[in-house]
Amino acid sequence: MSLQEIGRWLSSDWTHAVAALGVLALGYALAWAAIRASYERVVGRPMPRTRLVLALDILADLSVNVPGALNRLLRSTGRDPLFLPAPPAPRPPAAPSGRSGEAGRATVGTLVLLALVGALGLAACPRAREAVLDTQSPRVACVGGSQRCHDGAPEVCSRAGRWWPAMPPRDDGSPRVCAGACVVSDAGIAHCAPEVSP
Amino acid sequence: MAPTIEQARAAAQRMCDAAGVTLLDPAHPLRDVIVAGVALASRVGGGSWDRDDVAQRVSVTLPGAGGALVALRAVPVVGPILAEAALAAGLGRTVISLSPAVWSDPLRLLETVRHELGHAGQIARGGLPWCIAYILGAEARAAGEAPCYAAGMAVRVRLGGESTAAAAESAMRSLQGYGLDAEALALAAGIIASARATLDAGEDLGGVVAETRAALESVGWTP
Repeated sequence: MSLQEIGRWLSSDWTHAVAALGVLALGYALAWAAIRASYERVVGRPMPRTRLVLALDILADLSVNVPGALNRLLRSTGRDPLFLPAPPAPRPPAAPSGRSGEAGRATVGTLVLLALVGALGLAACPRAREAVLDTQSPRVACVGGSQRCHDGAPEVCSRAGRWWPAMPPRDDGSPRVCAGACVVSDAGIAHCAPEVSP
Repeated sequence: MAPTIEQARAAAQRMCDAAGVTLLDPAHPLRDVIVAGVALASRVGGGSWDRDDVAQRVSVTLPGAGGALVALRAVPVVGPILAEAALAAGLGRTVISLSPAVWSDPLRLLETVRHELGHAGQIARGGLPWCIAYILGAEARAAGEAPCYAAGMAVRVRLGGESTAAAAESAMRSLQGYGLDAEALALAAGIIASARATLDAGEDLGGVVAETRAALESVGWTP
């Protein structure tokens, strides 16, 4: 894909530009975190708190966490921060990887990253996707396309082998049932029907 | 007698109140935010809806932000204020946002609210895992959307006098817009066929029509 094609794709719809901006911002935040972590591992101490480092930190925060960036800005200018500072605790002898002294914010960033990675993983991996679907209706040995009556309501079997209700649930989530009877027609269609008196 | 638009709106509100769901009309300020989010999700997910489509035609059900509001409340200073504002706007519970296209048509309004209340029930039953499954899996989208379109069919047939064949055809046409693969479409078709057979047998869809009629009668409608 050429630069011109990328430009055309970005300008063709505002949502493309927003999505691309989000990906770029996340990429920048990851790259900056990697640089900081590498520096601290090699040098053995945190990066000096220069204006440039502060600006790059705030930019990284803005990329994934606007409240965190605002908190850092307020604290760096001597005003009351949004979040209370972490209580003083004895630090381990070796500096941990990641941004030292920013445990709370780093946790938020980590959670965001984990959520993103988790969502991408689920979307990309069919086995994970099937596992999520199994939480709603576990796979059984039903024939795809077949129908049945179960607990007085029609159900349809998916190609993957899960039974799904043919009627929407009630507002509270409980299943709807046929007022009369549930029957399976000669054509194999499960449906509600008037109750037949014996 | 066909319900008036005022009766349909009042009945829709009653059904949502009874379900513990917040109903947002098309003029609600939050509608813009929801439209932007749905349009973005559709584009990123490879869907075919642009922003104008969503703004005019798409009604949507969103899960409540209850858990997120508890976390938001823990943020000093602004957290409780924002959480209270969100609660006051009804965002603590499941939200149904209606499109302008259905807001002025009594039958479409009732059909759409019955459809969206089906989703509210699915969210009540399946919680967050259901929402994730819906987003990730075409099978869950088919299993979630088809019964809700079936509820809409029941309203169209019983209150609007439409034939079951036309209602089923319309439902299947709408289901094409959810990014379903062939297997998921087959599942959806099976569910719609079941609903059509139920309506052809003269039966209600588990009480969908009876509940809609009761809501209409409670606001002064007479059949």
